[in-house]
Amino acid sequence: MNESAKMIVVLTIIAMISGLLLAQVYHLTYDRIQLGKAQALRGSILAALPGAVDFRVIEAHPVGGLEDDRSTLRSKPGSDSDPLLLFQGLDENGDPVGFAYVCEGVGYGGIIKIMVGVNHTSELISGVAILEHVETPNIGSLIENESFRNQFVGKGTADPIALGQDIDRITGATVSSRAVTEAVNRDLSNALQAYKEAITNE
Amino acid sequence: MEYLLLFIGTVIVNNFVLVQFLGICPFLGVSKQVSTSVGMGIATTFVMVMAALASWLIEHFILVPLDLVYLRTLSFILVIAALVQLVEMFLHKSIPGLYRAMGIFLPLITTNCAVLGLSLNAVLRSYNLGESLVYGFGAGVGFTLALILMAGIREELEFADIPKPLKGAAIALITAGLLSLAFSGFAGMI
Amino acid sequence: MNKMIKDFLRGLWDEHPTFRIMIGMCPTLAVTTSAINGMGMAIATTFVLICSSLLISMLKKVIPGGVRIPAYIIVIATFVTTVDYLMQAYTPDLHEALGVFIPLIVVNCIILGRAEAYASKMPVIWSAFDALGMGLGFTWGLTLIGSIRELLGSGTIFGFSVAPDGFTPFAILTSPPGAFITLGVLLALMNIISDKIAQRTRANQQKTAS
Repeated sequence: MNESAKMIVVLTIIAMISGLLLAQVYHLTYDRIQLGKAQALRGSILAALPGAVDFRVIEAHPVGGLEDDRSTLRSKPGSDSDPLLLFQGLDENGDPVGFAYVCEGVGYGGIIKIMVGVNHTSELISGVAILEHVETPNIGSLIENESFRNQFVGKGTADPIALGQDIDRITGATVSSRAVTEAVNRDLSNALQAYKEAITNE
Repeated sequence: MEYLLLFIGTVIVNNFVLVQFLGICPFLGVSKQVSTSVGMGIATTFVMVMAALASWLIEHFILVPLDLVYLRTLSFILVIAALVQLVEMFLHKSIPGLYRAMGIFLPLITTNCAVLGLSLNAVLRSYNLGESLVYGFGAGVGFTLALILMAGIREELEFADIPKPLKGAAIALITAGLLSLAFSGFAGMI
Repeated sequence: MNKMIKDFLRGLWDEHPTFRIMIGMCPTLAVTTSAINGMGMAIATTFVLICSSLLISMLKKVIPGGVRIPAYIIVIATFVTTVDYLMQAYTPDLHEALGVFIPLIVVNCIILGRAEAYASKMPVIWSAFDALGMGLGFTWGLTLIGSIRELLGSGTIFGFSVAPDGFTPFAILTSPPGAFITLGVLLALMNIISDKIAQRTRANQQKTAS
């Protein structure tokens, strides 16, 4: 066998073994990874909707600005025909407590993903949870603190939530604070409208 | 407009080297002279744009349709390595002048984590083709900018009276820290 | 045997990847915002380093010289992806904190460097010891940087609060500029320590000579 043929054969065999191994690793860890993600999602939904013990997914039609939003709101980013995912929180009796939606803001380090819970009857924010962020530890990461997140509770669509008036910014983390506030503000009324349409159509 | 914001954001606000720590090895290694850092910057930018294009094509035409996402890291790094080889051969054959200027930097680019980092980031953030290309170009320009700034300062440092323990890498890192501090002032611009 | 121990110890000080050769700098600066992140990153890297050094050393007769670099890259990328999925499954919080720097272990120059300079020439056991030494060196380096930045930047170590009341953390140390400055100062300190050691050995040698 000449030299270049040997090179190709060896490289191909190594690549094939590697591909097969990785396929195994992928399948072995798949269930656990999905379980972990589902638990994290569930935790943040229940945190944003006090009183909820369970949730169900509602597929709503995107309204307004949500259509352009590249986020987990749509099950598959990139195509406009995909439904918008909303999470309806249910209490012990299975009655709706409210709904939660995901929005994104661009913070200091990158994208911040936020779960916003809205009360079913009052249509006011019942809770905010931070899903993902890459903000600076101890500065921007303080958006995860309850004292910051709880400031959004009780705010509604009636007047826009303003940073500095309704929400106290975190010292040294204006960018992160503003990213969260603007993201919540931007999508709140659209999400509410999408939710109302979805439940009347059911 | 959106592309412009993405570009500025990548070059300045989230500078690959000074804010995201991607491509530190060449940043510290090749930033001793302005002239060489310009060459390195241009070569890297070129590979970055090509890598952004190639990784977008692989992700959307091979990995996702065939359900092979677990081969992402492997395929991206191999493509980057092949790309660097191709660029090297192409330059060697057709533009020997440029090859002589950039030649020594090209093999270093494969292990520049900024290139792989940008390919992976573009996929994780589900950028479309246009955004990926702008992101790749911005990453390259940001890298070049950081490299040239650093080289300019280090050329001056040659003549400075630096305490002995701080000589070499230590003062270079502290300088980079001050540059990074300056760049953090751009945060919130977008 | 002595030589093997020497090769093992080399990675811990004389050829320390972070403080001496200065390779693998991207994760060193990026993920050391806390001790646990730095240590997690270093352990993941060490795992990949040992596995790929072992395998490359075993395969050194099989892989033709012309394609050795792509072959090494495939081997390394396979282990990195494995670590990536395992961490995502079993330590999801750490996986999220380290982010893109886990797949980027592939281009960590320590691994390809050891494969090319050592594992591709030396017997399997030797390569394993060399990789373990380099990995442990990387681990103490990253854990130290992470601890310093966490202690001064947030007043905690491994998440435990150790700072006295009224201590205001230097939050800049956990931000990107702090990473560069911490490592720069540490390098200067290392230079001073090395100089002192060198002086002392020289003094001792002179004493024994006279």
